[in-house]
Amino acid sequence: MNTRKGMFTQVWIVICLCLPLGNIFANEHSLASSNEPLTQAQLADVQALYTQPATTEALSALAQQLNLQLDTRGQFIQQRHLQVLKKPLLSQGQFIFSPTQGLVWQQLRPFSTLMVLKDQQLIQQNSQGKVQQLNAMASGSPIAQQVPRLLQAIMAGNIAALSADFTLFMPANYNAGTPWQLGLQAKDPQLRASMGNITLSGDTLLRSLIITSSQADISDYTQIQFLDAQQGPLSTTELELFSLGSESNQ
Amino acid sequence: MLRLSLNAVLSPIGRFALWGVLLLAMIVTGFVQWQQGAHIQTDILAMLPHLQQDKLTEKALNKVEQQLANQVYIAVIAPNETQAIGAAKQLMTSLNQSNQSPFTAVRSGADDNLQHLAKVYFEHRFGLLTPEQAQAIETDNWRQLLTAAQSQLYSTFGFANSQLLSNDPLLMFPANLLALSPNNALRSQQGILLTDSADGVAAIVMAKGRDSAFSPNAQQQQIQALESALSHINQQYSQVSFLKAGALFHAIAATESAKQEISRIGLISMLGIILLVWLAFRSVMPLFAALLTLTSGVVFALVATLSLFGELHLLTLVFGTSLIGVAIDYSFHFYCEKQAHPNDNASDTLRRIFPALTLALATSASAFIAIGFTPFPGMQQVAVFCAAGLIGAYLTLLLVFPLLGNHALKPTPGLTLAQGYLTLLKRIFTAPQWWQKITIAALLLCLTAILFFGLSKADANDDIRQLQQSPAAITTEENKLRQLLSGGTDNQFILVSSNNEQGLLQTLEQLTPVLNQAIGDGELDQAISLSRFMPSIASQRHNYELQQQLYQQHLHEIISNMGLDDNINTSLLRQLEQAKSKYLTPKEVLALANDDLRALWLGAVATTEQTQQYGAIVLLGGIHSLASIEQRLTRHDWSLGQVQLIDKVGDISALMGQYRQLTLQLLVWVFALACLLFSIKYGIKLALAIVSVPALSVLLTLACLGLVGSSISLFHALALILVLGIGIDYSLFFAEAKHTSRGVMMAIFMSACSTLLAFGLLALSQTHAIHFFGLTLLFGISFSFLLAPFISFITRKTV
Repeated sequence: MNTRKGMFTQVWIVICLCLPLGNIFANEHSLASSNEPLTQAQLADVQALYTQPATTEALSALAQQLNLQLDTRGQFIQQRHLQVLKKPLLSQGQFIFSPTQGLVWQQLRPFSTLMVLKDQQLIQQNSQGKVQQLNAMASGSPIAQQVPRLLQAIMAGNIAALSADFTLFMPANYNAGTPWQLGLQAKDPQLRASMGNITLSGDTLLRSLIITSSQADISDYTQIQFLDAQQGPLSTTELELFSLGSESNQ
Repeated sequence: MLRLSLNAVLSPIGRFALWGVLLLAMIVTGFVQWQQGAHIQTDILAMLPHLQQDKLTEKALNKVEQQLANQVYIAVIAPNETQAIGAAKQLMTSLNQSNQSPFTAVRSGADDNLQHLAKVYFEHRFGLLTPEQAQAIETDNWRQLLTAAQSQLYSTFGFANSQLLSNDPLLMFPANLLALSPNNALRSQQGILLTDSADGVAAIVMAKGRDSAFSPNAQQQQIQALESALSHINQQYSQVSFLKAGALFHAIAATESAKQEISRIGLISMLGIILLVWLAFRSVMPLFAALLTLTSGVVFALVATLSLFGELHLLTLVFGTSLIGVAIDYSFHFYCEKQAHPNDNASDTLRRIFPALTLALATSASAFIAIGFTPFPGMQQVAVFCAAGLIGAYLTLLLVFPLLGNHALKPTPGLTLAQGYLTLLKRIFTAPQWWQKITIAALLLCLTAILFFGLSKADANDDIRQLQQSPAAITTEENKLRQLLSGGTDNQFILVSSNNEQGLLQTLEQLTPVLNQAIGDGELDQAISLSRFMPSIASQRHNYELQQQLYQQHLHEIISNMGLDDNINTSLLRQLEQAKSKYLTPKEVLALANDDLRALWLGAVATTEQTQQYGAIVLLGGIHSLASIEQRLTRHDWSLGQVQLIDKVGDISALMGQYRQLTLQLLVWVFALACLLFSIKYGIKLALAIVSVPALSVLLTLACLGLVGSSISLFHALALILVLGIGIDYSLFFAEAKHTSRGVMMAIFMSACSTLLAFGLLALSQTHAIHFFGLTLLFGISFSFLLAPFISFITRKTV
């Protein structure tokens, strides 16, 4: 019974990054082959991280090292490994993160969807181009309303904001200036059960995000890699993406 | 006869001793009552009438009241979540640890049962479908569900995981569970309910007072516990502010304002009356005697009320201060008479005024008793309080004054002034100079105009909500909190019943689309029904058959399209088979449900000895048009049960309206009866004149109320009865005084002044019921006083 607990609470999360009604063929995974699944050793590493609470010194060193205050864009590749699936699910696309504007998450394969996260608004466009606006306040699930905010804090690497909602973990042997790993575990038990452990890693930028179950006996995991990240002011086309929701309002 | 025999048996000293014994007995009785738990009641609802209801409605009302009563809601507003959560946790701890634990059920968003409940629903997932899902399967559009599930698979923080997929490959269960969670802007973190507010993050803490918020003791304990908790939090979190709501704060405001009004209005009355007595008699003794009359009146009133009711409503006490005005009249009559006949001793004076005094007591007491026949516990108390107080004052006059009232009175200009006023009136209104005639005609015209315009503007408003109005600060704070909690629920609710459990559940299911339509049409903001939580067996069976059909025909396709492991097939079909005919029952849900949900379920209620009814409550929030909701409900044909809109506030208001009309009718009958009685003694002409004084006063009062825009309520009508009683007194005194009216004029002047000082000051009250009462008397007594002297002109002509 205990192993099911995660599942029951999981459903309270609303479909934040869920992209409704696309034409998907789950078997069609024609993506770049550079993405190997995590090895057992890597997964064990990730699990081990959650026994090492982050020290204040390490966190402040990390905060100095991170350079996430600028607008950043790049590619992402997501792999979802669910035990019950015959094959892992691969998807890829591009993202734009701006501390002032918010987050654009544009999936291009296997089908295209667009998600824009701005203030407390979550705007989605599915593969048929239909725009749907989910006001975080009206989206129904109590937890769903927090996810946009948490995502923004995660993408910004805003350690002060993160430590309000999460218990933070870092390897004991972290040296300032070297690649880093940061483990996030939600303080709220329901949220913890549904979000799992979120492991961020990078150097001056965020390079990958791994979500594992907070329970040892569930081997499902999701890995997102951020590639070709570039920093610099937003172009006009990029800014237009952020105005997806306001267009639909008119 | 009684007085004569008393006179024969008792000397003045003997009478005084008798009075002493009576008063002592009263004080002892009162003390014993107090020891036995008599208390002061401040709940305005306690003075409202009881409604006749069937057992199911009664139980429903009790449940709703129990749920809502004594709840205290606090929003802890902080600049960020961490502070909000920390402060809210501290608040909950300190409320739980308060001295004498005045609060129970201190809680926030933590709902541990939710997970257990989710587990139960998961076991019954084959009997659950949202309307959209059911429709998709029924219309053979189940592939919609498949595409939605497929895209859900890719969602990073979505709910697809291995366990869920193997038990529910189309991911249909989450939507069903989501449908249960109320649609509001609250979120829960670390067991604390949070919401965003304009000033930051608000954490919501709720607590239930252990005892009634209207009991002064509990009130003090609760507010002290709360205030000390809040100030401790502010020591640690200086940026945190609070919003509070709940009956407690209204009750405290009511207690405070009533206390202030008793002391302020009481003090002004007292000072005014002291000044009046001093100016009239220039002697300390009448003042002392008047105060003695008053005090013993109040003692009698308090003890009688406590003995009969076991409690004293605070409103009674405020109304009761008006007793001063009437009780003190008795000693005025005594002293005015004594001043007019300086050679009489006290017993002679008493003998002289005894008939008028007894008549006055009888009329006032009957007026109060008439008020007592209304079905209002509060008004019955007022009646008993005032009647007992008057009897106390009357007895004091009879028993104490023969001993204390022999003090000689200096002549004062009072009598001369009274005589001067009467002469002036007479000169103006009886000497038929042409300019006087014009003045009189103009005055009459003016009067007619006031009557016409005023009466045409007069309207009625029986809404009891206008009776209790708390200070704006409290209501504003409450509205802010209500907004944070996204609406809350109203006083009106829907009672659904049926003679069997399944019939009830099915009726609840039929009600849902009707209410959704009402919400869609803007008549309502939200409805909270058990229907979502307790599907009927019929709908569970239907959902099961749909899923059975879907999986038997298409499971292979689903599994291959979702890219799932093939061995899911057999395990899922086995689970489906095992779930057959295992229906979710209300009992199962209630065992795990929280109090808010359980309060909506009435279950089986024995309505008569043989029959029982199953009932459930549907709470409504943000009602914009009660009438159209009611129309919807009555228009619909409920085949399996009954659906009633329960509106206690509306029902009581309607009852108040009925009694208002009844009281006004009673008024007309009393006028007719008085005419009849007086014409036997005075002849028809004078009888009509006597009655016309209070009748015209009542009409003018109604007109003035119309002009100032005060809608007539029962409290206005009750005050009109007093206007009638007092007005008749005034004109009777003038009619009785055949030779000289100056004594009467002075007594009536003093009586009217003291009544206005006491009753009229009630118009200043913040409590609407008291304000209405006072305002009506202010107008009524003023007009009676102005009109009564004209009786003497008629008596001079006729006699």
